[in-house]
Amino acid sequence: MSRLHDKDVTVGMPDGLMSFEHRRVWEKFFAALGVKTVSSGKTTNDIIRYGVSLCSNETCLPVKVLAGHAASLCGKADCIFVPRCMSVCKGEKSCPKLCGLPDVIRLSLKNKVPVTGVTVDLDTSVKESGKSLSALSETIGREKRSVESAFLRIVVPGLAAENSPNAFIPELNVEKEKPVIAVLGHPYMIFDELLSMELIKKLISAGYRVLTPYDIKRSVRRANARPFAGRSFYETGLDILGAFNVFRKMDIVAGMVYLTPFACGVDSIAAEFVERGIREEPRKPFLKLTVDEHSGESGFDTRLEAFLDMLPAGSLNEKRQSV
Amino acid sequence: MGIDVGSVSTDLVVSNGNGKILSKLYLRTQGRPVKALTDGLKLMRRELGGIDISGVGTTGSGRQLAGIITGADIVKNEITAHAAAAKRLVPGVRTILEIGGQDSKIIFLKDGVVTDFAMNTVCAAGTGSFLDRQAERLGIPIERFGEYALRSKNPTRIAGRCAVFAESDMIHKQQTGHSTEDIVAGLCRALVRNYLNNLAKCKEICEPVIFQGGVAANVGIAAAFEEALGKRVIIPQYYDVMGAYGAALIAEHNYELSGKPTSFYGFENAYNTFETKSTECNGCGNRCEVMEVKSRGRVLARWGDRCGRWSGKKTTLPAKEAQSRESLA
Repeated sequence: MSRLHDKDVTVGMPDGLMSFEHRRVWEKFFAALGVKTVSSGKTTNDIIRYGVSLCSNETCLPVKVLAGHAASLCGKADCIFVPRCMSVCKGEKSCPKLCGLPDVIRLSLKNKVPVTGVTVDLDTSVKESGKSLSALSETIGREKRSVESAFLRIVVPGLAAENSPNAFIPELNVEKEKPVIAVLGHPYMIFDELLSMELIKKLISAGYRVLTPYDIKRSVRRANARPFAGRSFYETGLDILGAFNVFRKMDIVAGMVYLTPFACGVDSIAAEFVERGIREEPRKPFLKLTVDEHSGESGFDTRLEAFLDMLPAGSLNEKRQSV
Repeated sequence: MGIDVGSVSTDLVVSNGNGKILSKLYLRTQGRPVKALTDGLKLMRRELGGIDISGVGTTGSGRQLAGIITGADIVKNEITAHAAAAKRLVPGVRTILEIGGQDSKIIFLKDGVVTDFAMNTVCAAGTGSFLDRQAERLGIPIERFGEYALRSKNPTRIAGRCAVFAESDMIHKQQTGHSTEDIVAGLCRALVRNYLNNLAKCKEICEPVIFQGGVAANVGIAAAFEEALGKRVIIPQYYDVMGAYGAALIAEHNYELSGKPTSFYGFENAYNTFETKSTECNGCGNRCEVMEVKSRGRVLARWGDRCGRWSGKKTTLPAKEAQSRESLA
């Protein structure tokens, strides 16, 4: 690997927002270039509090949390990596907040540590990334050519990979005896233990198996993403709608929970279609949970417990009635 | 016995094995749930004397605390409790409208099974505490709020989206000379509009419809519901203590299923002192607020920690609720 300078740069990877899938792709990218990365780790209440104090009140909770993650890396990394992810493939758009993310984080951190990133707009053209890849090559001290090649080889296919690197259960038909609760929502909500108030853990400890959109192949999610299948829409919206339409028809799915951060724009559209779809046969018990900064879990737990009470009697004892 | 520790009221109900209420209490919580609960237990003992309690169920936002203090057999969320009570009093009920002090909910049932529910999320605009405040502003005792609304000939339109908007709108209407009756009736309609928009969003409301919770005492709101829905709205006999009644029925059902003697500590236990304390744990970056209940120097329970360091928990759902999730027969 040819280097532009001798300084060893450590890149900070804030573990929020699209980190569930995308960060792992970027980590591979940096590993291929021989660049050290450091992750901010799990979300803690300190990170939330700090993020909330840094951001404007208008931004959604996940963006605030990402700012908290980025801030927690100050002193541990030479730069913070926040990609400007506008679209990961043709016909799909990222949430507008992801497009402006590097700027939001840069302003929130008040230049305490440089923020670097790569522009990804594959819906327009892979060429859109050129300038930002040059800048990144300077920052990390690697030749532009190798940076570009790693980007094309690892990142471009990785961001829209068929199998999620983090699927819970690769095959849907294992452990058949347990009824399933499908959890819908953005990956950075449902897999973040703190933001999701341990939703998945709670469901598992109550005796259920949990499936998420990321247990379904990407092409299947896309093909079922009514009414947006084959049309241009938001990436996470397609994931949620596609998974919803698949889960809805699965007998083993006893109910569905949709976790959404307060005032999410993508969810305001996706959840509306989910709530309409849920009224069509076959009907399944459904719960939409909205979370924001509140740390009190009792309201959340009340709704979740009432939802579990609503599931067909005995659904925990193999003698599950057909829904 | 059923106990419902809510944000505004703490209710206790003792029923016999046939679901008949022997005694009921409705007390104001006033931000001190432990005091309201122990006062309630003392009053109940005075009223019923040496009655034999075979099971205790708690519900409401303070259900966990109440369960620890009384040694309850079962702790249930308020949606399940409200549905259980409504099913008993109005067999075949399809829709439950419930408005309490700080929250409101709608519950849909079919063939005696809850099929869907919704609770207000971020806003307390359509709830009892808002009505309390407005009654105070208008100088009307809350008990007479409903009569005022019914006397109105020409209800004025009040913004219903948000309590803050509703209040400023009300003040404007007052200043332009609308009668108190018309404003009160307008407010009832706005509240009902707000409730239906937030909770009943495009959902089918089937009869029989019942209206319960503290606000069901307000005939003005009940009339506004009937008008908005075009359906008859039933107010059940025990509308104000439905949560506690439901908890009592669930405790009774639990007793019949398990046959186990109750773990209730007895009414005398209410004469002990209970202290609750919250501390911030500095064990990790989560800084959990750990709650602790102590009685006579002994720690009864701790909760609120994520890792289980203080509570020693294994499952994340309260154990009692995880155990008994059978639906009510």
